[in-house]
Amino acid sequence: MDSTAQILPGTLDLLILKAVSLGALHGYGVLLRIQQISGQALLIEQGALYPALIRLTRGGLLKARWGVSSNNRRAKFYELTTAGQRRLQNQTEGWERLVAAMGAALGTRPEEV
Amino acid sequence: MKRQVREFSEEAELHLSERAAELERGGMEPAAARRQARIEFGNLDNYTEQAREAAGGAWLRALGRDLAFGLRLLRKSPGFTLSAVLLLAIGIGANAAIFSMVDWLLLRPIPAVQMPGELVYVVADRTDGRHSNGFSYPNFDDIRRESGAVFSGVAAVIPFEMDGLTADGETIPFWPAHVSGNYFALAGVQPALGRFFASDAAGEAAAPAELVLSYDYWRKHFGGRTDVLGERVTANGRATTIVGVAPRGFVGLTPMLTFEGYVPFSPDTAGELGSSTGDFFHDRTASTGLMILARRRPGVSVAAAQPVLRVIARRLAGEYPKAAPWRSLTAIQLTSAPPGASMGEGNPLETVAGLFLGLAGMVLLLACVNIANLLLARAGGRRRELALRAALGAGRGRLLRQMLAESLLLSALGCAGGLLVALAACRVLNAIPLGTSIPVVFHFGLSARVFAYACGLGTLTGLAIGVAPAWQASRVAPQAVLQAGGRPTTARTHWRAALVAGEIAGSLALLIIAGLFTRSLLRAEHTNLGFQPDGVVNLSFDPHAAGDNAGRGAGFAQAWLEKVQALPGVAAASVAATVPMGEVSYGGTVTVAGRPRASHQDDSAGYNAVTPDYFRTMGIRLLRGRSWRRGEAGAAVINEVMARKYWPEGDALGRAFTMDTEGASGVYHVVGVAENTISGWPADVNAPFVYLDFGQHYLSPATLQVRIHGISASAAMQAAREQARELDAQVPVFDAQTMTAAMQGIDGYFLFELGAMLAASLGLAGLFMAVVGVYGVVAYSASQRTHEFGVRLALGAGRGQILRLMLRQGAVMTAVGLAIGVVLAAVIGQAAKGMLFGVGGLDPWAFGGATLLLAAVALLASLVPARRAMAGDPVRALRWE
Repeated sequence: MDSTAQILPGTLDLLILKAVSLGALHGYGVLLRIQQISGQALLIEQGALYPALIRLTRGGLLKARWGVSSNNRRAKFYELTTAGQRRLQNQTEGWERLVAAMGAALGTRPEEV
Repeated sequence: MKRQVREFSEEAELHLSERAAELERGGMEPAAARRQARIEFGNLDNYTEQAREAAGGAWLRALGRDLAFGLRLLRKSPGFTLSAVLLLAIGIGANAAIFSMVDWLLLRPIPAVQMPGELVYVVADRTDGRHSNGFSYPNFDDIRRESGAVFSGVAAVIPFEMDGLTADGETIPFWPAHVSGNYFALAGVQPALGRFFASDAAGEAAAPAELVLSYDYWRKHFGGRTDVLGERVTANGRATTIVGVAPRGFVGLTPMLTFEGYVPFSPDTAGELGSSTGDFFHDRTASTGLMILARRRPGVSVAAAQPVLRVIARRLAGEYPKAAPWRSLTAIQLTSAPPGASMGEGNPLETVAGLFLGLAGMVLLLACVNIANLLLARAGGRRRELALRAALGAGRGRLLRQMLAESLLLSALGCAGGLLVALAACRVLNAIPLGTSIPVVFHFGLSARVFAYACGLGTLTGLAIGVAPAWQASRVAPQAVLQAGGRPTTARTHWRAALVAGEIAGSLALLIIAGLFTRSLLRAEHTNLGFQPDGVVNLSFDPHAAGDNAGRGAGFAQAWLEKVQALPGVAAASVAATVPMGEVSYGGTVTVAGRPRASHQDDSAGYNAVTPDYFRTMGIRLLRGRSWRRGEAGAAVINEVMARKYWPEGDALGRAFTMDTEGASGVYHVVGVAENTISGWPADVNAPFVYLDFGQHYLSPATLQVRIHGISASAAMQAAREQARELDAQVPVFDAQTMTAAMQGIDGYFLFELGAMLAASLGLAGLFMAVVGVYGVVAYSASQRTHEFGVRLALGAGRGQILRLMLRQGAVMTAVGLAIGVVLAAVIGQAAKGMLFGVGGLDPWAFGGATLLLAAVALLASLVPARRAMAGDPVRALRWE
């Protein structure tokens, strides 16, 4: 359990965008993909995924179409829109800057001050 | 939104089963796997709610919650709810009722007609500056033929020729319109039964004698039989064939009137429609009673039709300067407003409508002020609740919305109540008898437009009454309120007092206007009539309608009169062509030999043809001279106004004058001078008037008048009717009523009464609003000051002092309100002056009476709660905290 982490508030959207950017996915697929790409390290509330998907779709970042899942069930597949791709790129850069800054800040040693 | 929620469920279901399947693959029991999947998913309801919110429409659902909450609150305080709804119902009801009258009289499109917006009527602007909507047939036919570029159809109608319809030996009154063959084609209607007339212009001059019945007349008098088609009946003595029935709801194209049937212009009716000298179809001066209706071609505006009409007018005026003395022809949009009204002379109905809508609006405004006051008082009491909710995180917008939802809910209930009030008011109005058999129809009701108007007002009202309290509530600073224990500030009490002062002002204005109209009615009813209506019974009859040519009708009238004069209980009886305040009146031009006619002087005079005993029957005093003897040639009685006008030295007796009436001219000598009487409209008193001998001036219809003595009016009517039937069953006898009842009719006091009734109802509503307002504010302030009064009493103040304190507050409010109200009423009274009879816009009785009444009522309304405050127990008051 120590190897997992609660995701930070506001980062779920970014994770969903990333997961979907790798290929169209249905809801459960998004969850699996996030677990897969985060090396099972990120713990997300599974139910929370869906309101987020609806919100992103309404916001024009994702588009949804109905298709058939791998075990032959009707499922809604999500893909990134152009606006979604732009948003993903921006947020990724922002995130990287934040991580770099936080890393630098947290890595500071007494003699460096 | 719904769809997204449904899809969410589907997605969640898929998610759960996939997750469970995966867990099973990991070796779990199916049931356990399912459970585990659910646990991992989290609270499904919670996420459903989140999904719904993410899907949007949150605002609408929140409103639903607000409404439900509001409804709970309103149910919790039924007293408040009931009074607010009652106030609103009165306010909105008054407006809807007045608007339903305006709708009927002014706004309603002509019913059952295709595209009524395309219809216009054509009016001539005459060279003498007057407007005329009457044309002769040849002029109409020329206009019809030459206006094809702008009109797709032009038809003509002679709106009312009183007729009788004889079927199976009995004649019933029948009010058809005489129409050109294409009348129905112009309206774009299809017959309910049978067919209409041949509609080509050439066919008119050779049309057969045919008749189309209105739907209602057919149902009423022919029992809706389908075999009436082809039936031979007699209309005005002309044999004719029923060929069709007009569609249901179609009442013709003449505003206010409801035709009972349609007769085509034809050789058969031409003699009747043309004057005795002219040929209806060919003489341009023969009959000038045709109203011209036209349908604009699609895309042709009223203004675009103008140039074409001007060209036609010029050609006709150039060719026939006497028969077409026109400067131009004008097309006017056909509405349901009475035709004279929109003939460029300003519509008095619009002024009246504006006034009463304004007054009704004022009642609603007063209701709003009252309710806003109640809501403010409640908001005061609810400050704790609202503060608590604000402290718990309800946003300002949320609170605002909540308060607005409550007031909208109230106004919706009030609106429903108001529609009921309006419905009841319409019933009362529709039940007022018009005292005439002419099918003029008033049928006020709740049309879609009235409904929309009421709902619009309701919404506006809801917003208006909700905004102030909502704004105030949303500005609560939670800590302050929660700490202060909800004690109100005095500033708001002043604000409320100002509202009530405004309310008293409005209410006073309403009362004064009600007073003005009531005084006007009383004045009209107590004007010296010049005759004694009590004990006079009228029976109208119309030999002409039974197809009579002059000789027989005059004989019938004389024979009937003699029979009735011989009946027991008949003090006097006479026949007259017109009755005072009746729908028929005649006039002519007077010339006196040797008296030069000044060009500016109006020499018109009204006249009536009567039998010699008329003055005795009607109780009209003969000031000088006598009535004529039967058969005395050229004798006339004139009224005093006329005697003074032409023979100011008082020597009218024996003098001669010439009277030109429609198509006839005669020389008469004065044998008597009669007291002035009211002739037509109740306001006509000072016009010259001439009485001529009915025996030599036979007119139809006419009225037999009987002065009864010692028998009942109904017995007299019964007996007289029987005599008429014995003489000639075919002559229709109608409008049998007492003279006093006839005077209440549409040509008599009807409009005065209607005006007084409406104004009085609105005035009473205003008074009610003022009472509620004053009482409410004083009672509220008494309740808020209970603690203060307790302290004052405990410190030794007398109870009288407390009472004075309270009353002073009410008195100041009332005095300020009354002062403003008087000014307001003076302004409105000035605007209403033209609708009043014998009363000035600043009538001191109306102003004084209303002011005193309202002052007294306001004092009383503040006395009750003030006394209660005075009687309070100081100990309890102090413990009240």
